[in-house]
Amino acid sequence: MVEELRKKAEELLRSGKVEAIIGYQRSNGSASTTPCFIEAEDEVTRLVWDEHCVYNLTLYLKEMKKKAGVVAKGCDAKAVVALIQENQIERDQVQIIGVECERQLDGKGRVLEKCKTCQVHIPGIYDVLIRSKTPTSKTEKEELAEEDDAVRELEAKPVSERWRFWQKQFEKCIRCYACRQICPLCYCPECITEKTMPQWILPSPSLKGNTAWNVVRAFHLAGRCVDCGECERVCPVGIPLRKLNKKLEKEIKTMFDYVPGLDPEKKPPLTDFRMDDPEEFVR
Amino acid sequence: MKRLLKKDELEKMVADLMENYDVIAPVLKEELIAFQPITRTDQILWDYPNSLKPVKEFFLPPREVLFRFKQGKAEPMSPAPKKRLIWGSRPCDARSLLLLDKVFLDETKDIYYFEKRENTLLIGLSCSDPQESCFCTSFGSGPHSKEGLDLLMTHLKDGTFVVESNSPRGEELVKGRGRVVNTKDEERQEKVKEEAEGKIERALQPDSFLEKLVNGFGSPYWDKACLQCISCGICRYLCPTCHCFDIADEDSERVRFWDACSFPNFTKMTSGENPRHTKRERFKQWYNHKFNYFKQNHGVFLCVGCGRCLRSCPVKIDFREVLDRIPAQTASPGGKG
Repeated sequence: MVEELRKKAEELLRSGKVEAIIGYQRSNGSASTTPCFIEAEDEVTRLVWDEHCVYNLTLYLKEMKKKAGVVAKGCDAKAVVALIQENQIERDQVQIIGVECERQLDGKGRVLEKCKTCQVHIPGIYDVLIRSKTPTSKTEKEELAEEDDAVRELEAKPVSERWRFWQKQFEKCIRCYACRQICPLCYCPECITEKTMPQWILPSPSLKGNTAWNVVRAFHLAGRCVDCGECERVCPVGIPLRKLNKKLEKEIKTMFDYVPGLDPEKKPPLTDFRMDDPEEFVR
Repeated sequence: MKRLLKKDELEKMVADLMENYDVIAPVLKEELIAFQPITRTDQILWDYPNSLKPVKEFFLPPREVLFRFKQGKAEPMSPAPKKRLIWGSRPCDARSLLLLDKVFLDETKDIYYFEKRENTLLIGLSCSDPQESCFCTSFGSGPHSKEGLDLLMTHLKDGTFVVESNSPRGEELVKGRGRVVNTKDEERQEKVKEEAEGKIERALQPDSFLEKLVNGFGSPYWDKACLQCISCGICRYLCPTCHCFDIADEDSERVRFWDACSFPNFTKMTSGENPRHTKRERFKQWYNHKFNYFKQNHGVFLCVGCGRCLRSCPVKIDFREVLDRIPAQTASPGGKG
């Protein structure tokens, strides 16, 4: 796969379709990887692809001022769809180098939680696709079952217990905003946390401010979050942010029969309105 | 004075100290290694890589109330006089406090910081197993350094510890406990020390960083070097020597809390002007502060080589590489700044 990836990247650069490739390279001689930005054809040998390529590189598209190619796993490609839907990038400005993904590993060599319930081993949107020689064997049915369970466990608990659970989690937050910074869909030029008049969210790491921040982050991603899981992966104190995201994903699915990141032509429900909306206040 | 104590003797010592001190020690808390006040000695971790957050959090807390106000009147917080003892700090973290002292004590005495420093004893635990990301020896410290500590404990890997005092207060704590070490104990301690130092394979040349940073200030190198950075605050917050803070009024409290130079708002002025208006400037600032400005202002590098920034970066930026790759230039071309 790596050879094919490098070949395709080289072609894209040579043809002038892109001026830069955002990909993965080895991190300082170790097995882990770090994002890389390649602008010259002879640098494509830096590109790698394996189970250590965890990052969602589409994050960097919003900063790119030139035509770029991006190496994208299935989950990452969903973010590109959302960015197109929200007019953050233009489809013809980006070349998606889709990679068929099996499952990725965290820093300790464990399979990432999101990969256990993945349904997009092959990206839903791409310009170039690099297929795996050993595709995953899991059936779609098994995956769906697991996914349901992950949300249900917490939902089954009474409100007071859920509140205690999250208070304990938010207490740990150090407000480093890595969750926001790593998110491809957190692209506001000025985040609500940065506004001081009025100060919507207390800036210091108090339980009150932390709760407000974490709730707002999740709410702002409702119907938009594509579950790439990067926020949870980077949280230095281990707040299970995917649980919040997944819950909202489920709510959106139930209410609007909508799954984010699948169809660039569809309008995300929370940015759309229709004259036949049953709610009076919307019309 | 060096003494030899068995682990249970040390535990007895902690238990005795708890009567007069708030004892803060490394514990395992939801899979994270954290320093926190303990109530039982069996909570203590005796062998751990390093804590997620450095011990600076007990001197410059992530959030600290400076005073409360009510109906136009301020109620000053009386800094708690309760004596504290930090048990099992790694030598790198202890050294970081000496660097923070230069900021918070040398010119203007920061009373909040000062009170905590005065009231806190530091008991260190030598590193026997430094990690790949550790490089304390490049910054004048070492896995067995006593610098900044009242006591240093070194595990001889058989359940006994050499406990070495490094201050009169430390000497007082250990007086009469265990037994005085003999030559054989000291030889074994030396062996453990050499083993630990041997595990730190990579030596950095900080002086070369200074020169490259000064000359490469306006280099186009930074345009590309900053690309990977996602501009979060992890490396700054988890760094034992980063000490920038913000101040705000929250409800009826004036609080100060950690701030990070990676955030766009860090340098934003009320006029709306922002002197570090791009990621490039903000990225570069961290390196310059640690290896250029602080060295020029205080004579030392603002780094203790604990490696937290390497281990915790969400996109695995290796700051050693960033510094190594700054192109050597003879003079700054200026320009972009």
